[in-house]
Amino acid sequence: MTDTGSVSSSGTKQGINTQSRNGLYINPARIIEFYFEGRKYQGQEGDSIASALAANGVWLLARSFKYHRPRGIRSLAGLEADPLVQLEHEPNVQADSYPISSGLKISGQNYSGSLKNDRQSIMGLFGRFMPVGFYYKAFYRPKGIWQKVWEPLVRRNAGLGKVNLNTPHVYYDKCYNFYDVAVIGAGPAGLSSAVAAARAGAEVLLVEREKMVGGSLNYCRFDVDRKMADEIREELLSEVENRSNIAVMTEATCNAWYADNWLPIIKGNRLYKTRAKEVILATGCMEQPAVFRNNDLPGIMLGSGVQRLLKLYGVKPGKRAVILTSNTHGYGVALDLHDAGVDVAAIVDMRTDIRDDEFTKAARGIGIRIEKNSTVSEAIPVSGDRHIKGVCVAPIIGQGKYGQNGSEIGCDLLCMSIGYMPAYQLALQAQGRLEYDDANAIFEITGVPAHLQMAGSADGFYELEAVRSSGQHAGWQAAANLALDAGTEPRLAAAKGQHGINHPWPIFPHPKGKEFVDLDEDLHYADIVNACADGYAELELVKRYSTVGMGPSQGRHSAMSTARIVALTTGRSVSEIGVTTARPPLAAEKLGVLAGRSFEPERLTAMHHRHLESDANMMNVGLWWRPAYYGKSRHRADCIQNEVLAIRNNVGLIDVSTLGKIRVRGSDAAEFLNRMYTFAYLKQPIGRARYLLMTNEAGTITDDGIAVRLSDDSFYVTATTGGVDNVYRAMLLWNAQWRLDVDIANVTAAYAGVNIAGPVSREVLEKLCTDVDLSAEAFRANEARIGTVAGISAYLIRVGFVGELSYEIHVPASQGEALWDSLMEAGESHDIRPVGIEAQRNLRLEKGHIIVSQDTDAMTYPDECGMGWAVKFDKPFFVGKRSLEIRARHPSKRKLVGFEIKDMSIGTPQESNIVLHGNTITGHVTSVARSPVLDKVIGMAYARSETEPGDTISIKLTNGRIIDASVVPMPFYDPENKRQEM
Amino acid sequence: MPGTFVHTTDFKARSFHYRTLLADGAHFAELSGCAIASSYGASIEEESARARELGLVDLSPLPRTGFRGRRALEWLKKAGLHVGDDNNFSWLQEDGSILARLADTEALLLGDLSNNSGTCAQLDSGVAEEEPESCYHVPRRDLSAWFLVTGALADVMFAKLCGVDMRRAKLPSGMIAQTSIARMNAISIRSNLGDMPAYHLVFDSASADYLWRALKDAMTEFDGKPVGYDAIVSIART
Repeated sequence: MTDTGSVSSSGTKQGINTQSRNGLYINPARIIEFYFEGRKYQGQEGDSIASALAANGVWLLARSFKYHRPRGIRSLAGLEADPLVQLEHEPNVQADSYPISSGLKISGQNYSGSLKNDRQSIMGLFGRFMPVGFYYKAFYRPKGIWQKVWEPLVRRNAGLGKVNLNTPHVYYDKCYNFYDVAVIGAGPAGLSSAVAAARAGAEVLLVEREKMVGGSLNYCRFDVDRKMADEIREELLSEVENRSNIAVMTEATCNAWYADNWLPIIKGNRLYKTRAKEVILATGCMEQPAVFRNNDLPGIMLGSGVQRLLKLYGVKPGKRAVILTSNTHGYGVALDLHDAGVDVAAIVDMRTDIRDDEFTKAARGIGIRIEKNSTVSEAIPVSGDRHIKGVCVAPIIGQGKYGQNGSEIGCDLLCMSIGYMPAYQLALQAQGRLEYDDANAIFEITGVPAHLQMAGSADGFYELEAVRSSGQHAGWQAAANLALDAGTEPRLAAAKGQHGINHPWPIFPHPKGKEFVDLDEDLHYADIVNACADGYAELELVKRYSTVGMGPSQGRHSAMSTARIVALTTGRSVSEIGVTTARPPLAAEKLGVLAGRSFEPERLTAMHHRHLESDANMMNVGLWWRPAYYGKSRHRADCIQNEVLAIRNNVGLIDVSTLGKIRVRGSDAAEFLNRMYTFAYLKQPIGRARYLLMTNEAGTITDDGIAVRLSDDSFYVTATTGGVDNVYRAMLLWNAQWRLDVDIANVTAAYAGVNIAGPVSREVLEKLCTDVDLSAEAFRANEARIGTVAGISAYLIRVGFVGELSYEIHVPASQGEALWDSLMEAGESHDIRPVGIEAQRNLRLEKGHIIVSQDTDAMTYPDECGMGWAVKFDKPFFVGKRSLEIRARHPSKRKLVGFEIKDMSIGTPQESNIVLHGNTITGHVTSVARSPVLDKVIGMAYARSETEPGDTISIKLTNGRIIDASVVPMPFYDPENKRQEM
Repeated sequence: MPGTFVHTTDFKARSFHYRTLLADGAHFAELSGCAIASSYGASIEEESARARELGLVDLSPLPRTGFRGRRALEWLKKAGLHVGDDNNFSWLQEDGSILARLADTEALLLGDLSNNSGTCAQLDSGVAEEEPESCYHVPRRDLSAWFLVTGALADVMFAKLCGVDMRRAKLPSGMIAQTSIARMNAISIRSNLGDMPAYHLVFDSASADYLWRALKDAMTEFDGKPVGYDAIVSIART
């Protein structure tokens, strides 16, 4: 029998007047123009891309991944990959939910030529040459063909949308949320849960993925008269709106569940890091497709998808419909279509025994043909497969089998209502389990943790009243767990309503194939069977071998069918097969959302802007910005040289504010330093500065600095810029054990510091400092004073890091810029120059001073780098002493040596160039520079421990060339230290 | 309240990020030998209204001080300050200053907003002269910058920057959160100005420019803006 009806064969010319639509989400008063595949269309405010295109009769949205088959909308709930479209600046956009906007340019994805006439749809003809797992078996023979032929081909055709590298920057950020109860899903169960918890006084967050709360109440037909849903919806929404302790977040996706109820909720470009004491998962259920030949074509939709299109967007999904069902919901869909003016050609009911309930009576009452114990065995496509024009209906003669005495029914719409799967992903992430109820052919979630409740159809409740009572109970339970006055425990409905919801076997293989199980990956029935036949009996292996469930929809529509087919093929029960692991994220999330707004703290010294005004090139040192050198980068070498010469010959000013500064105070302050550092501090005189060298328990050098003794029980300690936080942490840690009477305060930011250095520095400083005798006799090297400089209270310390007469001046940070200004002004007549850290590094290199972490590494101990003089083994204890004593019995094979290269034409090493002895690597260059004062290249490097001044070391340059350098004693400059002591 | 507008560089002590404040349109006035951003070009009434919604104020030029050590709290009590029993709580003193108890061994004192009290200076000189046992001065005036975030939307804005729940019910006036704000260690002291929510932020002074920009960025969504010191003093007086 053939009933062709009166259906447009093209399937794409069903344009509906956009002005006449009426749906919950749309605003007919506002027309929006947009473009799809270069053609202009009109939609209404509130339309999604898919609904607006459907209203214009456009059902073909994209092409499938492997066979390039035409695909359209199916669930209209964003559950599948079919309606992924390309925007100008974003690929893989869900057309189901993405709103149209004025001028929006949309195109299909994954086609060659045009969406309608995809040249690569020819791939469908080669399906039998691409069996499951074919890529594991192909491509590798003959040798070399992968690189030459297949890889370029696969790369060219891989992926779906295209990334636009010119996409403008978009602002993303993150936000923290805290609630007593988070309810995920705002359908009847979620709304009821939220209200129940809120009534008890809980602060509730209600999260809904759609643009309005209500869930199935917004579109589903729960009774023949379509009154029940509206009444309940109105009642629940009214209470939610009136309760100030319920926060509603729509168009938001809870994308995972993590330990302790930590929920990443994505709304727009913001990630809400939500922490809830109690979580209620009212995530609902996912309607499942049937499996039959050509079940993927445009025009085939889930019943709930059809109802969404009708009720939310006011779009008629077709002219003539067939309903494939096994429950009363399919009858509700039929009645909705009839009400919308769609000709319902037939209800194909897979059940043998159809209950004569109000839905059945109503369907019969309006004359709808009902075919019981039947199925759709095949959808019949129009030319080019771009829509269906009919279906083959056949009687069911056994599990997965149909008779040959079927008939054709003409239709442009096939609706499937054959069962549901709970939206299980979040629950399973929370260690819940999915168990199969063989009697009802339905999956159920069990074993969720404490402080997480399930509600509604996610918990196996399907009758509306049962769903509501489930929600109320979950809300009550959450409130009770919070020790709120939740009242009497509500009663759960006696019947969940799960009986008869799912058909046990809506899977009908066809001799010609193309009965798709996973539409994302174009996997059909035989692929799953063959995966098992290839020896992959476990579901996780079937998944990896066949890629089932690995596409964008992550098995939402394929998991149940796959489990059933694997169970059948391997002779086990569906319970034994189960589903694959559910891992976060629930849905695709953008990298921008994960990155959020990047917070990158940075620290500025008080003189920062003075450096910028002096044309400084700034560089990061930890979080700090420091001037590398002053002047144009193209003159870098000259700038650094001039700065070096300024300090050697005249006077320069270095910003040393970034040095770590720690106050150590208390009666045990000296003892504390004596334990923390290798040198001796118990007898350090007041007013003297002493070098500090810190080692860890392994004896490795970790930091250095100076300690100024301000009084018997007070020290002002400096540390390296990058090391101070670790030093401070180590100090706190050690004293937590030692319990010495000492207070340790990190005051780094409290003091700005400058180093005025050079033979003229005293002369400049004397102009501004009158209360301290700066003469060489009164204020000697390694001494400290407290005084005023330019009227600012200051610590003055004579230190010699750069090897010239120099003073470190530390003042309150708020007055650092004023100090800088005063010194620059006082030094103007002496041609004072600001000096950056590049010059400072060269100056200290000339003096042979190490920089910890540049000239030392994670293994360096003092003797290796010539710092043995700073270790006092006659102390009873210091951190690292025991290790150093052990190390002393096992001399190192390397040591830090100074080297020079007088003939600079042979090449200049760079830091990290390796040092060779024959073919053996003995170390590397740690510091190197051209000394303008010495007129040669000087440096430090680790070499064999036997190396002595006068020897030669071989250095392998970056370009591979090996040069010789002469080992010389350090310091390179002023070995008698006369200049810093002048 | 400060008087005539001045240049920031007229004084040796300068706000840690005065150039950023200038770029935001700040007008400066003298306050105890330093220049404070007294307004951003609008009237006191307008800036007060802004502060009640969402405002950001630089109070860094105002006095503040800190004390550490086993006997620091004891010494502060002897000096006449009210110090309660709970850590991470603050108490408004009679002179309008706020004493924040950060730990059993540390306290922070924020000078009164009107800058009429000399408590901070008195304590600083007191500890220097007395040298009390196990009580050590912390140079908070230079170690830490001091911002004030005000207004009804402040808690919502903080949710973008901070993992601690700063909502009114969760962080009542007087309570302290020692936490991370925009990846910056900070002490947040909730101390309302009358019925206006207000959070004092005390944090690394070298990061003042960074945190000012981060806060302003987070406030943009709520139309929050910098507010001058004059408006805050005006609100505090009412």
